Amino acid sequence: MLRRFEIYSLDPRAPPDKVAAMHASMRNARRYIPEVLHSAVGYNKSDVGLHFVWEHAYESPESYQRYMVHPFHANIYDRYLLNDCPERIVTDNAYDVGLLGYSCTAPSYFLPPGSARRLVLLRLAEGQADSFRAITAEAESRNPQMISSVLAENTFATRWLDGVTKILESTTYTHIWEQGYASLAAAAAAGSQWRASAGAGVEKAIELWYELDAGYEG
Amino acid sequence: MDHKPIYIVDTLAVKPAQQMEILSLLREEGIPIMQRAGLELVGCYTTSPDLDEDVLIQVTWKASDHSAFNVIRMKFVTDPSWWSYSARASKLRTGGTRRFFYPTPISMSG
Repeated sequence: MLRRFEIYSLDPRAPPDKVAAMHASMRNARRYIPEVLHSAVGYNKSDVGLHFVWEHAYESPESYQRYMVHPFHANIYDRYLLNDCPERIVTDNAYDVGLLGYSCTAPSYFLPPGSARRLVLLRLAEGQADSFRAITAEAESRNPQMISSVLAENTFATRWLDGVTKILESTTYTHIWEQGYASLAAAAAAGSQWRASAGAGVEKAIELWYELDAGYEG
Repeated sequence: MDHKPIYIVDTLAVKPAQQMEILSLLREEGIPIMQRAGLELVGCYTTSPDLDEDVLIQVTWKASDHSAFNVIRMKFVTDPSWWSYSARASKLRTGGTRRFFYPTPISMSG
């Protein structure tokens, strides 16, 4: 499977009806593009200046490639997102964040509608992935509110064309740690004690948390 | 519906005083960038600047299908000059649209 996030800062001048239309088109993506699985959107509540998250998945690189060439993608999503589109409602952001994701064998990230996500985007120092994985396991064992925890290498940012072919040399955040909680309050309260254990192994990190508005799965 | 070829119609609204500036930007930067990426320029037309309203500039592009456009999009999005062009164009625009059109049974070219 391919797990994928699109994360955006919204233009403060964006008309509310256009934001609502983008929200609905992404939340309900499977109505239009059957390949899009587990689609959910959320508005970030942390102080990081990134506002909107669309999380979803694909069964395979082939299904992702069908999404990429689907007319709905170019007609509707690009309208809100591409820099040269007159109806763009997102902005470039200082975090160098847009599209991220990873490969997985099963949807271990899945949360029921109404749950909340805490998303940690990390730049790990070379060779630090295994030791940081132990830190995430410890954080999960310490916090009974954390109902899911997945750490994965962010392979998607450099392979967004088809999910396979590397088209960019590097990306700012090398890893994604997505945590699940039953409520937004629990996600917000989870804290970042892990930072003390990680030390210099984490070169850069930002955290977002949001309630999942899950879409159509029919 | 057969989704090929695709015609991408950009309609850019600008103040009349900016008409020549955006046309220059298109001619010198926007059109060459998109052509390098693989889009075919079909036409570029403008409304009159003498109507006491925003000028509309309509640029029509053509690509063989959405698979081709996906590769073209990758090429222009990874072209640093597209980012600077887009930033400059967005400052000139007051509005507009991008819409995809497809052949109909009465299209002149079939």
